[in-house]
Amino acid sequence: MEERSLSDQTPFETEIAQLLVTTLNLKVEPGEIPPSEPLFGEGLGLDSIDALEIALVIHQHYGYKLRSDDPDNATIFSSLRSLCEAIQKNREQ
Amino acid sequence: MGSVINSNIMTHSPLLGPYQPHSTVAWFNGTSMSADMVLSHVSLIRNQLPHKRYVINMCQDRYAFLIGFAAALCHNQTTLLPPNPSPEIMQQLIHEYPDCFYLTDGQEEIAGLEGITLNLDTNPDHTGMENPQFPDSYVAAIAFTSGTTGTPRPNPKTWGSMVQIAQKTGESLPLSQGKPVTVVATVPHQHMYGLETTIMLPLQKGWAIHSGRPFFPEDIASTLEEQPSPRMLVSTPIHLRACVLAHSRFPEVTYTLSATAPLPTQLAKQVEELLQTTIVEIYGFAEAGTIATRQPIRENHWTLLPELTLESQTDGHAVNTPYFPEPVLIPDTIQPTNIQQFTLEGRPTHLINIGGHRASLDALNLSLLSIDGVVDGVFYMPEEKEESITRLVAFVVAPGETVESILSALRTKIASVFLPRPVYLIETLPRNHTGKFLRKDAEALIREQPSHARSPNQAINP
Repeated sequence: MEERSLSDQTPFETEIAQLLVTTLNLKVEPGEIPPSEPLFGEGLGLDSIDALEIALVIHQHYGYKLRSDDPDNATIFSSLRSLCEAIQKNREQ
Repeated sequence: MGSVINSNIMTHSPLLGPYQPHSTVAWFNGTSMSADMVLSHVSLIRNQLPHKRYVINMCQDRYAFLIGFAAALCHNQTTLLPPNPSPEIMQQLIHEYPDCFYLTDGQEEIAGLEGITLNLDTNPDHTGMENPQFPDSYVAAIAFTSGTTGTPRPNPKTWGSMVQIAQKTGESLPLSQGKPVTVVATVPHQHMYGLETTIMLPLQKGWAIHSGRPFFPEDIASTLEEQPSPRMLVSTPIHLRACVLAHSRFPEVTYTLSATAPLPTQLAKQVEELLQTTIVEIYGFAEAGTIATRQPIRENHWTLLPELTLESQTDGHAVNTPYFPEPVLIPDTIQPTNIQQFTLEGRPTHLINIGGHRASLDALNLSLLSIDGVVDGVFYMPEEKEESITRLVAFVVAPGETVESILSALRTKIASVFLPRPVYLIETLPRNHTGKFLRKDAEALIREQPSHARSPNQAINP
């Protein structure tokens, strides 16, 4: 069992949440991003410009290149948790 | 000049500029669609269309959009191009144009409106339809701008003007004669820039249209790789910047078009190197479409498309063409350098551009003030930085409301790129004696608010 923060984030989710907040200049505390809620549209309110920024920063930090023809995309971007799972699965070792 | 439109009544222009039955018009799901197959799809879909006057074409696939657009023309229908797909805009359009239906390829729908789903396969029954001709004076599309009143403002586009712009844009590109170009685009086709460069330009030049819309740099690279050379990429500074930063491997892209926002010279150089390409920037706006081009590395000035002229007016400059009924005011501040060229001096402060989406602050403010519970409020654009996309913020006086409730209401009214980050809920808005909200007061308010975010430039360790 991984250690979870107060908001139920794993340490890696907190790391990615911090990356999102910094990259996108979001006015929330990283720890306040609920790991299971949508990042786009209603939830955190991100849009396609943010998706490009996220893809770039994830590539720079973890060597994982996002693709829009990935059938898992709807899942990958559905929440902080699924984004983190995709990064951990695909990151360069 | 007033009779120019009338003199066009009897002239027609074809759907496909050069028409060769077996040449590739589009790449759809990896299959080459010949002119004959495209025309077969058009006639098959035309027969499925309802007897309505207007159509909102929601097709996300570029090939499906093309077929729907052409079928609607054949059926004497006019395609409506909403400024954004927010529910409120759609309801306003349906209210203004009740004799209307929508087309979809299954990905989008409009609640409460009759819809037709295009089911296209890569092997349509041959119908023997000939290359259709449409009257140049026919209003093929109406592009809407958000306007300053909050109500979408219609900009009718005649078929003749769309054909002329495509041909003249083609003439202004540094093209060498030879094999037809395949056009890959990251931009949507429901806006004038996308419609003109990714649908009309290839149709009129006899080029091939790639049906997809690659988004991430890796997609853009692999989609280009899959196309035959010569290739053209139609994109925006945001996507081109992402391509440069991603260090993906790109094939040679003979031509790259960029529009929606100024392309910094340094970025233009990097793109030309990375894609082994010649970049041409397009300048236009929904009211007039494309009016000028330039090669950003080689020239600072913009050159008007052939036969366009500038006119000085009391409130700025206008552009005139043989295909406009009257001169069209240019929304940016320009400085003519000679009869065919000008430099861009910036845009008026009430107009904003975020990632290529333009809006007027007045219209956004009206949307904000129309929310139940909002007593006062304004949108404010912080100072823009080149290295990242700057978003709007909003100062809102709304006792009893929450940031979430205001964002939720705004989401139904304005495009998501304009949603404020963040919303500052305040007790009163400091307006001066003339009711104006000043920049220095906005900056002071931002400084006063508790900010949780770190500076975007602060490095973090992975």
